[in-house]
Amino acid sequence: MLRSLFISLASLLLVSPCFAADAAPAGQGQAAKQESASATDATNVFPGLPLMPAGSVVNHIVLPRYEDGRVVSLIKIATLKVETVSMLSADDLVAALYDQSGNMTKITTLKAYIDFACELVSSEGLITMEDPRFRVRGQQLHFDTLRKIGVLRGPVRTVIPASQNYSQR
Amino acid sequence: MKFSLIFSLLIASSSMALASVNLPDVSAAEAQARQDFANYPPLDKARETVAQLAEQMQGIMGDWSQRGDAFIAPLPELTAQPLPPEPKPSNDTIVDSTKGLYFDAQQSMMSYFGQVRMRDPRLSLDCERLFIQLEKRRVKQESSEFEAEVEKTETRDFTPSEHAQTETVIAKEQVPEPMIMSAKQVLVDMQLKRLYATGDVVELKHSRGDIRAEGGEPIMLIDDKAGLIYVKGHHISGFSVDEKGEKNEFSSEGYVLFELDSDSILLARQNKIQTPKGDIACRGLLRVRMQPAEEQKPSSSKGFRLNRAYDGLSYVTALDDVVVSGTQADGTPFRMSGDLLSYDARIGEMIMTGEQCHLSSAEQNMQVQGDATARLYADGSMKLKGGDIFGSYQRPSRSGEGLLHGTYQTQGEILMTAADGQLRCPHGLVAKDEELDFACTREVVVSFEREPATEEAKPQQSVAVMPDFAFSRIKGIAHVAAAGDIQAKGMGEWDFYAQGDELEADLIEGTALVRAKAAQWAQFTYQGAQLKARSQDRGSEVQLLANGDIKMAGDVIEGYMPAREDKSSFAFETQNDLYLNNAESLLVMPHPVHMESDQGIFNSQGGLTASLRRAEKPASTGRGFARHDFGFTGVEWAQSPRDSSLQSPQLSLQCDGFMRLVMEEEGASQGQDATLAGLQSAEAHDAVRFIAKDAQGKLYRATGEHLSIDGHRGTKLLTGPRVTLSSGHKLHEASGAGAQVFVDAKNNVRLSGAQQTTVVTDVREEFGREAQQEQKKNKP
Repeated sequence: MLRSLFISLASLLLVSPCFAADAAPAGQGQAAKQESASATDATNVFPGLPLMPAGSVVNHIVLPRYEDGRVVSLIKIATLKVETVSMLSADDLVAALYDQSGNMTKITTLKAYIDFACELVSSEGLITMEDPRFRVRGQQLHFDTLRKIGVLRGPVRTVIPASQNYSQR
Repeated sequence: MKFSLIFSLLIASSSMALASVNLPDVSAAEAQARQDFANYPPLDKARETVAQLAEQMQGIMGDWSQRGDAFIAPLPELTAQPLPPEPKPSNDTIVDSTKGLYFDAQQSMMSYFGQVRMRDPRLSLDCERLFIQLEKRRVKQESSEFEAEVEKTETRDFTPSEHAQTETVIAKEQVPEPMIMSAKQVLVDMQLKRLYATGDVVELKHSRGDIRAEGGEPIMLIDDKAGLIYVKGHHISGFSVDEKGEKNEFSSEGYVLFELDSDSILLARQNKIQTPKGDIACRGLLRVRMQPAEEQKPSSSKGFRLNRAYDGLSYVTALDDVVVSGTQADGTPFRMSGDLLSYDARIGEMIMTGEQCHLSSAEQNMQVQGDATARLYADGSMKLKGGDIFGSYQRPSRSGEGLLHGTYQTQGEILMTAADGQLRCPHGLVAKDEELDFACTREVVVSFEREPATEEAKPQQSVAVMPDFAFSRIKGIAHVAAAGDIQAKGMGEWDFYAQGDELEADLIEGTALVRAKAAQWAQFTYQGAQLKARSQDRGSEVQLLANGDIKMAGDVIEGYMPAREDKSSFAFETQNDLYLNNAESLLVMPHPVHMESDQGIFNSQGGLTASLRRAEKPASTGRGFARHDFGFTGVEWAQSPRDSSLQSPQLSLQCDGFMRLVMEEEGASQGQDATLAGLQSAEAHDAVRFIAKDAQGKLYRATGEHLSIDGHRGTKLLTGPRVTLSSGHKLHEASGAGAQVFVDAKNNVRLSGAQQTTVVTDVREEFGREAQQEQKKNKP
């Protein structure tokens, strides 16, 4: 039961891997956003409240998620706390997100907040994102879980490996 | 890395054709040039494509910018933080920003705020807003590899990846030299390998060059996949430094486009290219086709595909108010202008066309008006074609003292071939300078002396951005062949005049041939000596030979020798032929002749051979016409085989046979009896008649068969089987042995002979006058 809860949590945190290879066009993304927003507006609270009421704390938890028998994400959190009915906080979070081709995007941060009311994931302190195509490091993340867009506050450094850069032939 | 596609715009390395006297026709070449110009559609198409692409990139950038700004707006304001330390040289692409990063996971797009710094082995970029479109993810990994990755992730510590905090540092020597770009906003599409930059000023720098666009919302688009660079702006400028360290600069307005597939560069308008060897400027399109290097340098594989090595220009086409200027191989300047330029650097030929074309160098200035074409060949030859052709030139004077400035004019065409140093005008030429005034109406071919070509002046086989006006290294006129109403006048040292229908003159050898059509004078004048010939129904000619001899032919031949050294002038007129042997000062006129001077008039139906007197012997040194001396001061002797006469104020002499006259040198005969007519000696034969004055001043007339005049003794002796002496109304006749008329030095006339008779035709008057004279004497 708890496992399914965290699967749901994970699906809210990052519904699909970042920078999807087969990302929907902008127009379609907007439509999806509106559709998803209407669905979540009615339930803008933490869906696991019945099992983890506000104030609950869980340590060292790994949250895998499967779709069609395939791992789509693995999230490790050192400490997960239900701050409010619509807000979670996570310490030492490492999230590995896999797309359909198996490419991984890894996010590492010391502190993260999941705001169900605003559909926003935020982080504090150093945060890194790793992808086969890039590595990026910043200070604070704001991520819209529906639209899959976000802002990483500066100073930001992005490293695009030579094997991926635009001049590679 | 040498991102030299634009920067090496003007580093030309072209093989030049060897000299060819048989130059191709201008019309064909012009047609080819226009055809080549028309055959550039790929570049035009590329320009349209890239312009659309730039619009598309601008749209993407605007859209992303709007969406990013909208997302950030409700969030706490982004504050600028200090930039991270400058990254160490790496093969990776590293982007730093002070304010932060906006990203779109679905679009695989990143957008950086604040002060943005991008470091890449190929490109160093600083801007205010950077957009990066990441590549789409790669194909699915092998399942075993995928599972291993999952396993690795699950067992990893909860600490930020070390990999995420460090970059792969590589040895500096492995990092190629990057280009440096500065702009306000830059969009990098890593999937499509495109870079699009905007700002008030967009600049791309490299140690070997620079390109900069400013004004008019400038943009720069690099599409490495398509092989295009497109720079747009009000003013675009740049420079490159070639392998020799020489700087080449260019500027343009509107846009500059480079297309890799055709190795071509297109500059929109108000273009200017400046190189150490010369400049090209035009108001309209300028198209440059580059010559790819035979061996592309390996370093280019690490950079942009566009980073292609070039040996220089292969072809240049320019439109509207085109001006080409530069320095010739010998260091002297030149300038060329017109409406359409086609320059094939591979063979070193340049064709300029337009309503007007101008060419000028230190020595020459040429202008072609009316559907004009000017073609410059690799060896320095030139061909101008059009309506009216005007020009000016300067050349060394014959004396070698200073330069002469002249002008010329022709029509239709003018061709100058460097290989043989010839100038050809098929439709006549009018030329004038301080030494020469020349005009003809039909073809003229002028051959020039040329200075020996130095190593620098020889046509180059390798690098030659600009053509070599080898033809301009002329020294002076060597040979002229012309036709059609020729008027040629030499002044100064030349001092000649030629008139006729055809002229062929060798100014080195000092020969001239002037021909005239029927009823037209062929005339040649040198040092004041005038020679002319004319025929009614056939051609006539005057020819000056290399040894100074003169040959003339014509129905009527006239000559005039001017007065020299206080000696009087003399003139002659003859028919059919004349030959002057200059070395021996011998004048031969085999047909009826008339000769006239202050000393007397000589006529002969049997022709004349005369030795002319001159003060000095002909100069054996000198060049051209200066080799010849026509300073004749009179006649030394003259003889005629028959039917001759000599008339002077004091003496009239006629004979039917041979006559020979030996003249005293003018001036030396002062004090001599005037009835000797300046003769040193004379002899005449067959039916000799002469009239002179006796001691009393009375005219007498004598006839005989042989006359001998001795100027030294002052005597005249007329002999024959029958001699006569008449004066007034008296006729004395002597015949038989010893019949003669002898005139002594005092002009006492004595008639002698075995038989003598006197006939008085008017006794009354004759004797009456004698009686009157006796009475006058007897009066006290």
